[in-house]
Amino acid sequence: CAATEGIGTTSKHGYVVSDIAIEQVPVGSSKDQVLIALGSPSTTGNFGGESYYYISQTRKQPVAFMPERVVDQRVLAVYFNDDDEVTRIADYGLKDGQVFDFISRTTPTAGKDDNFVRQVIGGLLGG
Amino acid sequence: CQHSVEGTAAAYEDEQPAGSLYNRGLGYMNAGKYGDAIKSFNEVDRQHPYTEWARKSMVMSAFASYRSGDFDTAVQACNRYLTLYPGSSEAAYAQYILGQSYFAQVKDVTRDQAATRRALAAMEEITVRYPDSEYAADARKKVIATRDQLAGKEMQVGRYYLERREYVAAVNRFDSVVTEYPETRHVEEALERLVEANLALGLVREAQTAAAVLGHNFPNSQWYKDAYQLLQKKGISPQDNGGAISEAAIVGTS
Amino acid sequence: TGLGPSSAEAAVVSGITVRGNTRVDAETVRSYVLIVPGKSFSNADIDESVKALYGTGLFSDVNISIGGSQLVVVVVENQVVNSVIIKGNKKIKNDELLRLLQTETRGVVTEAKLQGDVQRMMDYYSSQGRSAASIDYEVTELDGNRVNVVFIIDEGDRTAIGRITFVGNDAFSESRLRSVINSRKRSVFTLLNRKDVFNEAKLAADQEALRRFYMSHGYADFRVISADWDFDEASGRYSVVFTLDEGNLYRYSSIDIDSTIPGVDTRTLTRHIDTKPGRIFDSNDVEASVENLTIALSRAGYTFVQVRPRGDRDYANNTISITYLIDEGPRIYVERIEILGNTKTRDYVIRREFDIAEGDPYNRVLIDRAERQLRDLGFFKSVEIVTEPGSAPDKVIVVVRVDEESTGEFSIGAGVSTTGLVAEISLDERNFLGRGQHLRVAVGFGSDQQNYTVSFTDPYFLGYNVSAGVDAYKTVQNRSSYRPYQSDVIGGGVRLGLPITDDLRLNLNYTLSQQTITQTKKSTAAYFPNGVYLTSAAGYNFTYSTLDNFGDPREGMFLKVGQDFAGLGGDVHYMKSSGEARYYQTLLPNADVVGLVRVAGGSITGLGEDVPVYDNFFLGGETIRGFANYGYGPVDIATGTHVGGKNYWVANAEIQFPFPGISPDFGFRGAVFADAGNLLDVDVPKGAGPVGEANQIRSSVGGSILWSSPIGTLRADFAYVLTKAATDEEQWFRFSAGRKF
Repeated sequence: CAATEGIGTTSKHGYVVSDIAIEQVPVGSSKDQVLIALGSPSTTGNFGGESYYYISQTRKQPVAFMPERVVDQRVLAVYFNDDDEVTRIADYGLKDGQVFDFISRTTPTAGKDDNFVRQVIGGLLGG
Repeated sequence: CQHSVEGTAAAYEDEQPAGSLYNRGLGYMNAGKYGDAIKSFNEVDRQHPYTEWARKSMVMSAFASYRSGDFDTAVQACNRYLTLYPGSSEAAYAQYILGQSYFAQVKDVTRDQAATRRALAAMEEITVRYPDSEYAADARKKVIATRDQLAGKEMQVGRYYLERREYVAAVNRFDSVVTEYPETRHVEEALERLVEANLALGLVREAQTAAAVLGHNFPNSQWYKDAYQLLQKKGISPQDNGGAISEAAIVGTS
Repeated sequence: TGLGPSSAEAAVVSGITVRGNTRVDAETVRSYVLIVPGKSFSNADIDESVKALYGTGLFSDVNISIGGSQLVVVVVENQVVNSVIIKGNKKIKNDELLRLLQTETRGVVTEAKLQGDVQRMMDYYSSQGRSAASIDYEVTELDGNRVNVVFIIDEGDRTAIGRITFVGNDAFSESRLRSVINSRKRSVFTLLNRKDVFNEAKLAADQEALRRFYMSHGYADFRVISADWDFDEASGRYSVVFTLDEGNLYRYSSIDIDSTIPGVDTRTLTRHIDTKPGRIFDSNDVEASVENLTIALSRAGYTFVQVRPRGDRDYANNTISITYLIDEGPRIYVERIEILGNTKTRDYVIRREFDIAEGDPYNRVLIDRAERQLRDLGFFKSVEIVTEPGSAPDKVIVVVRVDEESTGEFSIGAGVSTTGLVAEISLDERNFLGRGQHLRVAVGFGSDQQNYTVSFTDPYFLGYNVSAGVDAYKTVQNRSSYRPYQSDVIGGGVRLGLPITDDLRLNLNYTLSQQTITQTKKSTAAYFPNGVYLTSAAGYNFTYSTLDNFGDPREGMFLKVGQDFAGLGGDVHYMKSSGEARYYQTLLPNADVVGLVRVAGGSITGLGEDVPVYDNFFLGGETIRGFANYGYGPVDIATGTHVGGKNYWVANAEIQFPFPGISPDFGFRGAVFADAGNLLDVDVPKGAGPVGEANQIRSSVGGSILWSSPIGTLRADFAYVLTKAATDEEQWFRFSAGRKF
């Protein structure tokens, strides 16, 4: 596909999915087979039984100053049972993802933050 | 009389008794004249190397450098002391000054946390090697503070990627806070962010589990309330999928 | 450091005795010995203990043996340094040298440290151009196992470069090649900088500079056969002879792309390639093409791609065919990006320069691009990006180590031109609070004007790739020969910079300013009435630039087109359109001759009212050389005062070349030029006298001398006016010089 139509740019991020590799890890194959065929997962299940997630995104930037927009997102989920055998493979697309604003509050942290005067004076005196 | 600093041959003839030089150093310390104090203590070390007085003055010189804000010299003096006298009674004090010198240079989370890591290592050394010294208590507090700062750094980078909807990067950063820094305040926010990121990815089961772990460990945390509302809006209820990590990891330490 | 009697593999001792220590107490020695009385230990433990004791640097000799039930540790302590003195150094002062030394008072002295100190001082001397220096040291014993260390230095004299000559250079003149390498002949100007100093490392750098120069000008087979130097005792100078084998000039014959990855449509990729058949071979083009191809392919989803160029020479007719080989690279992902060394710059200011994020495929070209962009920020002395193995074989950690430099600059600049002397004091902070924002405060004063400006710019406004800025300024222009009134302008504005593509950019701005006119000459009061005028104007402009380098372009084009609308409130209502186009072309590449063509124009039209004379274009020598300031265009017939014009066009053509007869390393360049243009149309204010407007194109030809001397860039233009209006004022010589120091 043409990489750049007009002045916008499209770019791929995250895991590069190849359908041939997916066919090599049917249900029941071992975790090692999955690692060999698909490589290391983008993220692993944080909680509960081990699961591998292979996540890829396509982003589009119509004009250089506009932020990139996620136009396609694919999550290849590989679920294992307790004997580390593949029980289920699922595919989640962009439509499955919920879109919402993230919470702006943050947990406070410590540390010195040089104020303007000390920083410029420091800069001038090569401090 | 005041001796000129090394470099001129004359100064070496009239040596001074170690004791009086050391006391003069203490006098300067109390008067807050750290520069003169350091000179006197160094003279003791130079004229009477490896005596009892020399050892005491080396650590006092380090303390004077620390108090005057010259942290690099303080760190150097402490390291030299600890190489020579690792077993001495003031070793804990030298190690503590070393930790304090790094701790004073801890930068905010948008900057390199090299000083924080060094402060953490130095303070942990006290809790391990000199557990019952008078500095151990403060060292343990400083360990908590520095680990919290390092967790804060992971969160800052995680939020940077979350804003840009780079979910893989965000999830892994918040994951590292949950697994490596479970005892810090940031773990609550990390879990809530995992709920957000997983929802954005469409991994509802992961989002639910993260919310359940958050609720289980921090039932009345504002972050849990936010996570709960978020799931509620999307018509999902946080329920625990019997995750191993949820039981052991956090409950044990909180 | 032997071992005790050959005891059984596992042995046990009841205690450890320490001998030979006078200063270091036994407890310290025991704490480094890994063997614990009562527990079994092996030879390996003994070796480890010996190594640990040596590691402390306190001991010159360590010996561990087993005597009966005791472990016997015999040590010989290193001596302690009482004082360090340096003698014989004149050119380089003590404290500069003392900083290099590891041997310091109250520290321990070892043979290795002393050798290291001598070597470091020798390297420092040779880097200052004194590789003939020799250094020795003496250690004198004191009581209490203390020593005094004295370094004796014989500095030798300065090893400068006398003559540089080339053998075998047919394609390029000797002076052209000298300007390529930077160790130039010693001359009055090189006194001011260290370029003429001779040392081996610089010689190697010169050879690399020559290679890159030839390889980017068509000489694919270029080799430096030898770089011989010899030292002339009499003059104390080195002369250097480079023997070159230029080989032939190559042109591209055929260019093609060969991909082993299925589904890659090579036809669509050819537009990313800069190496076109028939053109002269240029290694930079090949590198640029590899980068463009890799980026295009990764954008199209072929992320693990490796592009390697292969050149096949046809020796018969000196052509080279380039094949870009595209094949599958290793499937590696970036696990983490660690940013280190930024004690002032914020993490996100650095992280946002990366097109790839954690979790994305590893792509060397994109990382090189980020490294270049970080360097262009101008915040860092050095930027090093290395990859370290990640937690899995197909994961890497990208480590970005930056070394910050102080970006706060307090500078004083001065300039002199035919209109008078101008001086400027400015405070510039390019990395304000580590947020990558730029704050500038400047005060300028000259014989006929004073100005005060404050400007603040954020290159990533609200996290978007949008640069936003705010300015405030006050300009006082005194009454002068060519300006019959005094003008005080106080103003402020906001501006937005929106990059459309890498080269094309849209800029939006709004300014609000109040101009107060006083002391107007009675005779021209009708044209330039006293009074206060408020201007509120919004505007946009597009800039398109493909210049190879902004300061001193040799190739490329610059285009700027825009409009300003005054009348959003305020007393003034007009629309001002203006445009400028510059095109640079290297005419004779090997003789460094550059051609420049420039066309510019502007037009103001009143919106429902006349355009006040103050807002006219006032043009002179800065657009058409040969005319004075405000030197051409419509005049008030009664007083002959220039009143500017609403419309103008200007065209300039210029050829710049190295000044004949003077070697380029003196920084002289010459130019010949031809200028032409016109300025016309005035809205005559009520009650003012008639306007004299000659329907006449102004034109001139002339020559210039440009000198980039160490104290600043100077330019002198000599112009002969061909056509002008009777009322124009000529000024055949213009001169300007200026430098921030």
